[in-house]
Amino acid sequence: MTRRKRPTSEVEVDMTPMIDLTFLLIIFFIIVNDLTQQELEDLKLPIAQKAGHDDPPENRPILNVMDDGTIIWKKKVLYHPGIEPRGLDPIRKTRPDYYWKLADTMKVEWIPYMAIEFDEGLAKDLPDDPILIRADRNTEFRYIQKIMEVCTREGIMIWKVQLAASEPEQKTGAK
Amino acid sequence: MGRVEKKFEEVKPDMTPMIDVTFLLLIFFIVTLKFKTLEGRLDSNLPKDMGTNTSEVEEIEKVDIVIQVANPGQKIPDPRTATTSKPEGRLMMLSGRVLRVSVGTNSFTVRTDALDSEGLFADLARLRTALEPYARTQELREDTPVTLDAREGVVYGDVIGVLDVVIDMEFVKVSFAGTQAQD
Repeated sequence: MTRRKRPTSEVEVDMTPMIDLTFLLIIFFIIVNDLTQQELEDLKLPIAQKAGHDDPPENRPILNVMDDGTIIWKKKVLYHPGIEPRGLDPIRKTRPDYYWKLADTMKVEWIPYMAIEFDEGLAKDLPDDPILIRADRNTEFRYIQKIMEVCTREGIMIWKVQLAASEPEQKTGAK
Repeated sequence: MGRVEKKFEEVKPDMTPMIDVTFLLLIFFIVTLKFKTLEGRLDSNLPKDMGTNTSEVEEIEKVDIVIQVANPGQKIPDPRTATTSKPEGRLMMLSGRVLRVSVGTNSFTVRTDALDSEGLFADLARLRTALEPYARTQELREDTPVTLDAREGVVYGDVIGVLDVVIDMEFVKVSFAGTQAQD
């Protein structure tokens, strides 16, 4: 009789470690979800053999360009076809400025946080950090040219531009 | 004594609902998680100056690669991106698209449908041959400025395809021509 009683009382399992582990997993997934999702829009990048593997530097702004030309930075739409122009384009002079929101964002939210280096040839301070343009493969290139033009505006002068591309599917080792 | 024992036993809460909820949450986060897709990048530089440059310029040979659209192709759903809600394809692709790429007097067509085993434009092998004379020596590759001039209607994927070849041939000074677009 005494022998039989023992196993029944030992059947109860201690759940605490399992619950701890489960909570840890949940927290891990919440964090990973947030970090990877916020800046990248869902679009199809072109494939390039030479696409250097991208280790994202800290604080590098990512511009997503959708296939209709809409420019998105951190879920904010900075340009879309049909946006109201404001003022005149500082480079084209006579044309209305459709990219004012992009230019303002660059000046206010990007440039102050970028490393600035003095350029001897131009005798000017230029931002030394890159930006990444991540466009859908079907985006018309004139939208990207326009972004590059905005980058060269007075007070912005970003000159390091990276273009996002996917690596080929079956990559056979690095060259 | 009997009372005290009773109290101890009742303190234990029933963990089952909490574990159920916790597992549900865990499964939800696992399912909704999209891992960061493997992406690469191609580096390029913009001209540092906007207006005229007063510094002396040496005479160097330049390479202009002009990309034009010969046939814009049809925009159709890409069957490779099919999902259960959109079986015909979630994203769009251009089918039957043909480009015209020129380097100096050398001009040839590039079919964007013709891909090699790695998913790159197969016809760009001719661009490689056209650029060969400028890429003979290390010095030439470092000094020759290459400009990509994308004309009306060219899309990002076309430019990346050409840029890929240029970077693969180890040209250093790669830049882009401005746009003629009106807005």
